[in-house]
Amino acid sequence: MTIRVTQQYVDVFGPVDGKLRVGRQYVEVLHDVSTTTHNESASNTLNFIQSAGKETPASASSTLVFTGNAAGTTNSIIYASAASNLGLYHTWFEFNYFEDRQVAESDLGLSQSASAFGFLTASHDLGLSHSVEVRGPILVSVEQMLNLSDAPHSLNKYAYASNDLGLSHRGQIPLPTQHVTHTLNFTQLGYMSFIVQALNLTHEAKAGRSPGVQHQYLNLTQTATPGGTFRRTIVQGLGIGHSLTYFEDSPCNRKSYTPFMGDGMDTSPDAPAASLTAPQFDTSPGAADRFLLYWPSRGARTTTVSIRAPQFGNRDRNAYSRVSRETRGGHLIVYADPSWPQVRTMAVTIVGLLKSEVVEYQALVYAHLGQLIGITDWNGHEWEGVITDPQQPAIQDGKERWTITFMFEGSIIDGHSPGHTLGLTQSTATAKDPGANSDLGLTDTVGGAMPNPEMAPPTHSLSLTQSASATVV
Amino acid sequence: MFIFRAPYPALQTTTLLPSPTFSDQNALKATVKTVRSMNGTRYTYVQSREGLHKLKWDFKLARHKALELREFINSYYGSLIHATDHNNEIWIGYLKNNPFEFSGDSRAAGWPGNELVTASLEFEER
Repeated sequence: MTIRVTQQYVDVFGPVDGKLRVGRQYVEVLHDVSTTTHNESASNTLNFIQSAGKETPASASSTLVFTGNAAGTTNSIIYASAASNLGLYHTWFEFNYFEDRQVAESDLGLSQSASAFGFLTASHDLGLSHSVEVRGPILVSVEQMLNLSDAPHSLNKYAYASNDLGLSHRGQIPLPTQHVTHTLNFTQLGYMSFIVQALNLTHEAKAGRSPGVQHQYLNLTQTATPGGTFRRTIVQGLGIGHSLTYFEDSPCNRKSYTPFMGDGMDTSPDAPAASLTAPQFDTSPGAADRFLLYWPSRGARTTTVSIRAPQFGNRDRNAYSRVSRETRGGHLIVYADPSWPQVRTMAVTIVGLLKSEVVEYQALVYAHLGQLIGITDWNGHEWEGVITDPQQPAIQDGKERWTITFMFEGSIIDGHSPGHTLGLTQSTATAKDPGANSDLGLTDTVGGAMPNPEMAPPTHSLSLTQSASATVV
Repeated sequence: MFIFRAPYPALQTTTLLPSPTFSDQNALKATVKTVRSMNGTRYTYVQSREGLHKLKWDFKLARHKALELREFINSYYGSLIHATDHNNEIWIGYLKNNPFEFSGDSRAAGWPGNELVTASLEFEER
């Protein structure tokens, strides 16, 4: 019987085809017994180290052939053990540019062990763990439409936003023992008052080789939770004016002071008095109830000239500030603001004056050129203004008969002259108990001769405003 | 009868006036500008103004009615006015005088105010 114990060194390399190949092998005979002694034993410890280094590709295989031959008697025992630790390092390296595709990092731990004990047995326990979803020895097909969020915004309040999000999530199971977990996150936001959500969800589970009943669970939960209740309130002023007017056409109303205003006569101004209450028609020179010119216009008068009332043909000119424009089509557009200046001019001609009256008049005009002077006209109205044409001549029409003409630009200040005496009476009546609430009676009267209210009231309300508003919700 | 109403279209105030005197005027606002070239060819430049009219009325009023008209003008000199003239034609436009002039012309015994006041109004269609 010959017993030979050898020690072998094998260089193994791994080409790109994924297989390990033996490059060199050294065999060292440690013990070679050729004897006829049957009781000799042999023991040998064989340290076998095999290493393979590889950086690419992803798979490597190692073929380890261990051959132990033992031949002997029936009670001969050969202890032979071999261990192979195969450390295979797999490094996946790739340089990524910014926002380039992201390569999955793979840590592949591959251990391979072979042991033999008393028998030509070699077992490979190859534990392969693969944490990458995409690649592996098991065919795993994953199609995943990831979380999809669709949130259209519209700034137009009348826009109708419709958001139909169709999502298909499919997982295929190559083996019946594996499971596929689908997690479907669905988020749909619509920033509108009315949201129409159409959720089309297809959930399909397929098994390549289903051993039994195919279970398919479809749990669908759709929850619409409004982030808030947006109730839009629209208020729109329709700008509808409504007025009710009527009039009575009669010869009298064509002559009288009868403006038909608004919804009745309640807001209409009072008509002027039928006759002048304080006429200034006295023709006697020096009389107080004549046409008066004086300075200053307010307060105590230092210079007063009284003359006859003017002739017929006196002019009352009212000029307003307006903006008038024409469109290309010739349409007239006028705009006016009541606060803009309004100019009122009185143009009069006075005849039959004495020479002395003319001199007094011209002396007054000259002494107060450009200054505010006062006039009490033939109707008793008090004016304040400026004589704008002092250069107008005085014309002698006959013996002791002169005529003057002038234009006076001013305004009526009836009742506002501080020269008037304001009689104010205030009385407080107390009861027996002076501490009790007293009745305060206040009487406010204007003393002196009020100007002729023929024009009264100088300002009156001509405006009727009725507004209708609607709220559209 | 002559009626002024204002402001148009939300009418608030109506003023009745007697019919204007004769010699009232009604004119087109359209204009034609004529130029000639060196060879005598005539060119006309037209502004039709869409057939709008310019009118003028002279009124003889009682003094009180003149005061009413003056207040009406004072309130609506910048507003659109609805006018129904003595021919019962309706005009929408503006009073265009500047200034408005009232002239106390003569006595008018028996009339409100005992005075005759004349006023001339120029009116342009919008």
